[in-house]
Amino acid sequence: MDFIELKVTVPPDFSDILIAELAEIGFESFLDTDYGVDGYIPAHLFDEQQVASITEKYSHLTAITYTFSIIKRRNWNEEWEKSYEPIIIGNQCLVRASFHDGLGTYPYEIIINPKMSFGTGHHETTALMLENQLAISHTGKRVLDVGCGTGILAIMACKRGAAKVDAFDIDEWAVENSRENFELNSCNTATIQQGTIREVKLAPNYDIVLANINRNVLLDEIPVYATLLPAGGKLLLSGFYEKDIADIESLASTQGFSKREQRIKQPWASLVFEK
Amino acid sequence: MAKEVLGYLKLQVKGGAANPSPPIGPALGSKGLNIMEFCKQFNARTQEKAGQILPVLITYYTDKSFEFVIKTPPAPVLIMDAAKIKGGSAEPNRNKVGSITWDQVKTIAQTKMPDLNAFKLESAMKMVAGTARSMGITVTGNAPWES
Repeated sequence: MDFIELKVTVPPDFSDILIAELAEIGFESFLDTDYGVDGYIPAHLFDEQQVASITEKYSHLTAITYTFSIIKRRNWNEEWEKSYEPIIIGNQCLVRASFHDGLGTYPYEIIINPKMSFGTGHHETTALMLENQLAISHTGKRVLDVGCGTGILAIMACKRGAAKVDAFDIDEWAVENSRENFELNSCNTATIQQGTIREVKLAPNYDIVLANINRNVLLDEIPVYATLLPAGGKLLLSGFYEKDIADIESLASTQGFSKREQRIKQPWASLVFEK
Repeated sequence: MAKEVLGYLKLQVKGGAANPSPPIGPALGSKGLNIMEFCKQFNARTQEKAGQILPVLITYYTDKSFEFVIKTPPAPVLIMDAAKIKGGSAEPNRNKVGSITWDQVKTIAQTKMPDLNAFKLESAMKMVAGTARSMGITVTGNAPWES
């Protein structure tokens, strides 16, 4: 997705006002600058007329000018990705990039070239999810990876012998990146789609649902996961803090889930439920 | 040994909505920081304030690690929320498009106090009321120190 960068030259007294006004017309984020503020909006939502009317509104109170330009989509995370360190999960799985040498000393080896998507095993939540996956059987199971990022959890499911793995993400980069990583890992049983859980095409049910997202999305979607898992189905969750466990657990219990496992890497937590 | 600071960045991002697009992507990515890690942390820490603009001050180090502090939302954002209006008035002095009470001014000032070192509440309230007026939003009633 391309973005518009709007550079506003305005005295400090008015820069927060401009931010509040621009946020109301769809600007998502801002960078404070020496001359005022830069605002950013997806290019297809940009309407210069609206910006002009905002600056006009304050023009008799202060000096204010703006320019804008298009920023093409590209991999902004490339700098970190090209030098990331391999990581070992649960003493059983090596996660590395294709530019690292393989070790052949661990039962599982996952190759991830992340390309601006989440999931390399370095973040506590990814490590917790992978550790939980290592502790449950995937053999012959049907697995769903919700908000798959790099596809790392789906790949682990393939390597652990899952019969079928469906993955999806709302982000176009993640979809493209999962496809590449599935190929790098010869993950032939995995498929990838773009969209939300309410938009993508899913099987009627799964044996395991994996979701490393965040508290708010999980609280919204746990009832949907419940409809996809028959009795005995496993739900593996992460992306939230230890202090959020009570909320997640209490909603899950109303949906017929019982807690089977809890892992913490401060401040992050993960839970395993069984229906 | 203490880590060596390479620089600082100040962004304003909607709570729970950080993603690797600009400005986060280019601003952090060009320093070699892991953008995805920042987004995951920021979104979890701001989940109670989803959708609200929040200033975030990022300190980044020579070893490509970073830390960040989330500040209170800008006063104009809180004022707009309190007045429940979309955008300030097109003519701030003549055509008032919204109003807030002195109680709301006080609440906003109290919210902002942690970021206004050593300010007295009354000074913070005067600042908030002044900002509201600049945006064409009336403050109704008498200021507490006037009654």
